[in-house]
Amino acid sequence: MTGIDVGRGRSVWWLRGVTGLACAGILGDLVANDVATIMFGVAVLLSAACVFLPASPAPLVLIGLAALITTVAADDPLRPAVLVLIPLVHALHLSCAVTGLLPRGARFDPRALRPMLVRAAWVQGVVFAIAGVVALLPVVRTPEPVELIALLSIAGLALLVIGSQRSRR
Amino acid sequence: MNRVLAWATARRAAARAGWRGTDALFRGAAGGLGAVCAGVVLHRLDLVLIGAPLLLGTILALATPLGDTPTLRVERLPRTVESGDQAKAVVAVTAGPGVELLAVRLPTPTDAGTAVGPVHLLPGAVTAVRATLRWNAWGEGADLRPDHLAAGRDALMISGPVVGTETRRTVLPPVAPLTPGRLPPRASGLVGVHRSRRPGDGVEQRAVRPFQPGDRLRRVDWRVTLRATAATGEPLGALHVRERHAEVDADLVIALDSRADVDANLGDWSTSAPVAVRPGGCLDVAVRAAAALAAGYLRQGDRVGLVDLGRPQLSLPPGVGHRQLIRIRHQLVACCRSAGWAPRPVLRGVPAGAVVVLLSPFLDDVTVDLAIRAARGHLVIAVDTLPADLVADPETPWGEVVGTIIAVEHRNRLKALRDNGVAVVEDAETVAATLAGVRS
Repeated sequence: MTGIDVGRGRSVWWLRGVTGLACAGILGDLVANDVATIMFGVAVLLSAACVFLPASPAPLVLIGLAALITTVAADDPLRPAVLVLIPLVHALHLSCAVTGLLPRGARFDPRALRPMLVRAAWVQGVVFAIAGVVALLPVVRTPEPVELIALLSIAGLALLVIGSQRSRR
Repeated sequence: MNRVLAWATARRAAARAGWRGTDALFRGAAGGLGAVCAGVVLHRLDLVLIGAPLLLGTILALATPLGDTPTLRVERLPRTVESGDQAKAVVAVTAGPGVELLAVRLPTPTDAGTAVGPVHLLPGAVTAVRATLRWNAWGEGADLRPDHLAAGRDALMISGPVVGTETRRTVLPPVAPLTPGRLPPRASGLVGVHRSRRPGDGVEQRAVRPFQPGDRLRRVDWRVTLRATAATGEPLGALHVRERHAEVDADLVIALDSRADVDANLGDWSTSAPVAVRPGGCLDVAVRAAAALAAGYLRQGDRVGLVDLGRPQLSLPPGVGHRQLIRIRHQLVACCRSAGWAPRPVLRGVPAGAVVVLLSPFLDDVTVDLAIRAARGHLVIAVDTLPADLVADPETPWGEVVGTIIAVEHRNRLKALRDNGVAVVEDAETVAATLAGVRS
């Protein structure tokens, strides 16, 4: 890419609108899960905070709350409420990440978001492929050694991320 | 305590330099990893699936190495521009690998709200950013400050924000077309464009008279001489010469009252202007009128000077030509830059016989006294720059009363000027008609 003329982009409110749509989708998903009124009110407040304060902890809390409520609501891991929540949570995460960089009145060139959207599509494809594989596999109890190995793998992954973070500083 | 503050500030600055994680990185890593871990521990696949995109996206984003922080360089633009001009500013971007998003603050022609424009989010691979600059308001100020922030994949790592280098420009006041009147000539010097009453070396014929010792032979009018010879019958009658008018200079001194900058809203008079000069205020009107008058009379060949009543050290002696016009327009900007209240206006450096055009809102008596004193030695034309319809402050019950008092006092001051031989006009275009009345 060589040169770009500024002034023809879109308002940052479009991105905030995407955040709002993702939040609305999550709220709709919660309603479908028969969430309690108090929890729904908290989720609405968190959604408003996500739109107006995208660089706050509100998106993380909303994602955690939605995941918790959806998980507690039913046992089937591949029911539509869960499958809908997967892209919505990812969209909320990405839109808040970009919107958090920009002040009010900012504008964005849609071409800037293209690599991010392509990558998000790939990630969603991988996750849904995993879900598809899981749907095909028989449901049996995992032996304890396998679970232990899985936990250790996750802990190692976490250490890898933390280590890479420190090496960048 | 100061050392502790300095240490804390330095720590903050060091933490902001280079690449650092955002709250989105924490959200992706902690949220994603937490959901996956909780799902594994609790044997809940749905938690793993919800957390997996966040974790995968974060791992993919962190897997890309980030290069040097980007640097921005603004290519050079002219230091002085005309009001109404526009130009394309080019910002060259040098960014290392891994930069996916670049947020840069640049002005756009459509936004008039901010001086340096909104933030634009652009692809990180861009190498040159072009912004159209349009200078609508005259004056001096910053028009370009490319603050920037770079972000890596998914905006998980950022570098900045970095405050860009500010570029300042002088926008000269516009020159409105104005038909200049003829100034009273100044009887000194032998050059100029105005006809003097005295004989001289001009081009306009004054009279034909008999030859006198000292007259040049090339001025002899042979036709008249021969007719006179034929009439008298002498072989060589009295020689007659053509006499011409002298051509002399005329000086115009523009006196700018920069001590007050008020507009029609009385409620805003006590507040400082958000910009250097209030658009449509009395100083804006005065500067535009001064530029138009200077351009018109300099084009006519007259000598034009500038006096700042509030800061006489900023005055310009009379001069001629296009360079004097440029000098005056620059000086008008300089006068407005340092404009502000001064207790006593000063009018000095006015050449003998010069016409003084005094641009003022006439908000105090000392300006009126100054104009009356100047009118004893010069032709003074006062241009009233106070907005015609003053709007009372609606936030105070005394607003209407204050407005009435100010209007009455102002009217009395203008009357005092007229009673003392100072011509008072409403705008610069009426100056020519007033001069014509004076000459006739």
